Amino acid sequence: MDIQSTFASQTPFQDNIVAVILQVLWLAFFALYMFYGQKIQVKIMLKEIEASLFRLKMMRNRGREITISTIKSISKNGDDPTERIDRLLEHVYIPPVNLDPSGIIRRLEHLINVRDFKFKEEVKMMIPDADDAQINNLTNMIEAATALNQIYKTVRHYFLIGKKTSSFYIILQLQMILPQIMMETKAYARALVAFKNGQPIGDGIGPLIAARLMRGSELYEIADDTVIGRVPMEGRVAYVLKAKGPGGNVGKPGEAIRQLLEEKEGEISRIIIIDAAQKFEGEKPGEVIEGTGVAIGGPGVDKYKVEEVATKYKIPLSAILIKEGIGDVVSTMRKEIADSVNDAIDRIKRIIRETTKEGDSIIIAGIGNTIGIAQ
Amino acid sequence: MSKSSGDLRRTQIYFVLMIIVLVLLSFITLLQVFRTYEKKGYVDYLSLALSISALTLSAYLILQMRMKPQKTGFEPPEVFTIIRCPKCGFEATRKFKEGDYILKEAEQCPKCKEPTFIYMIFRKTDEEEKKRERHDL
Repeated sequence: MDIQSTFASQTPFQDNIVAVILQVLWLAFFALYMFYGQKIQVKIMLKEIEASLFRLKMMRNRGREITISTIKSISKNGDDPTERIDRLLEHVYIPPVNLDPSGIIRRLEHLINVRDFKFKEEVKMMIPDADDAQINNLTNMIEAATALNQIYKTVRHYFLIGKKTSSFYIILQLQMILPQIMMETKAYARALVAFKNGQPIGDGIGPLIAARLMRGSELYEIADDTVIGRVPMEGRVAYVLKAKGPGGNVGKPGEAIRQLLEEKEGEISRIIIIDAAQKFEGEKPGEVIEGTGVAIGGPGVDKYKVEEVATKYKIPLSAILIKEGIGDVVSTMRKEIADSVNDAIDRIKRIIRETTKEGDSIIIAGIGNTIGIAQ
Repeated sequence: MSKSSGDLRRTQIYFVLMIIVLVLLSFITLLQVFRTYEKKGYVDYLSLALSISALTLSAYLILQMRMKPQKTGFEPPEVFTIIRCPKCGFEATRKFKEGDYILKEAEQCPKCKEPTFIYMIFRKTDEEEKKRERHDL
């Protein structure tokens, strides 16, 4: 019997029953969707967020475990650091009041210094015989673990609020931003691994270029954790500065540039700042571009100081930027970024030749975290 | 850690058992559909649809189980160290060792016996990352 005759053999009653069942099913589906469509959608979204939240929790716990085990492995006194680490993971930074913006940079700098000092002191208490590089690396590691904890808690907060209120819009906003949050969390997890092993990270491209330029010259510490060297370059004198490595550290480039300019009474022809910059999707990682202005990220204290002093002495500012994705900035430096060093140095030399005269003095600052990069 | 891996294995066994039962039931149902067709001459569409759905679900579950677990970021990347001799320019790449940092004095140069230094440390970009970045626009 072929298919056509099979269909023909179905009775009219059977056909009718199937059609009725289908119609009832469609009507039921329509009614269900009309009255409960949004609720079903909310349930689906909550399930998706819950899955991501579970992943965030797992990452937070893994970050905490790695931090504790690393400190235990370095520490010689045998004390259990768990309680102290748990306390640090919950540590919050309260930014200065901005209702009266006057003097906010000074207050911001003070609070950042106090926070940094506190973290370093806590690490010293856990590992009294650790050297500076170890203290800096472990401080960075704890900061990455703290960030993982804060992200997890914030997402959990909005998830539970959304669940409690069944608010479609709270849940929708959280679901929309979740891919970005997951990407950032993964970057922090990678950072934690890099800090644990003391490997250079993408953000270290500025200090890496500065280290290449200042290699072999006499160095001295100009500001806290910031070194400077006098380097002859293209018939000019270049004052090259970077954070003091190889421990994880960003130094005080703003203060260093300010001090140097005050010392030289503004006798500087140009300031060239090298830093990593966030790339747009579609751009190649490690692409070198040029700009004008102070290319210093972070809370803004260093940027402010350089802008202030450069304006005071009317010194032109150039920026060399190395493009990096959000995941590359804090993870171990990828090859494409490391390969951009020579291109950046060629551009620095070209800018010097084109915009300054022989015998002039210039400042070259490599901005970023110098973990795994000495000088 | 061992508790969680044990839980994972148990979950996988449950999944496999569920898939086996689903596939078996689907085949029995399919067999029934063919027998009914042979004996009575009509197709039991409901059973046919159910068995095909169950087979599809089993295939989906197998695919899900075979999928690689998503990376969390804690996986140690492949990191390399380039050492260079400042005198003769000899260059060699080796795996990153704990304690390596850029500009650190490294082992003796095999060519001129001068001390070398760590020129570069980098991680190898994985293919998945490169694939994500590739575009024609």
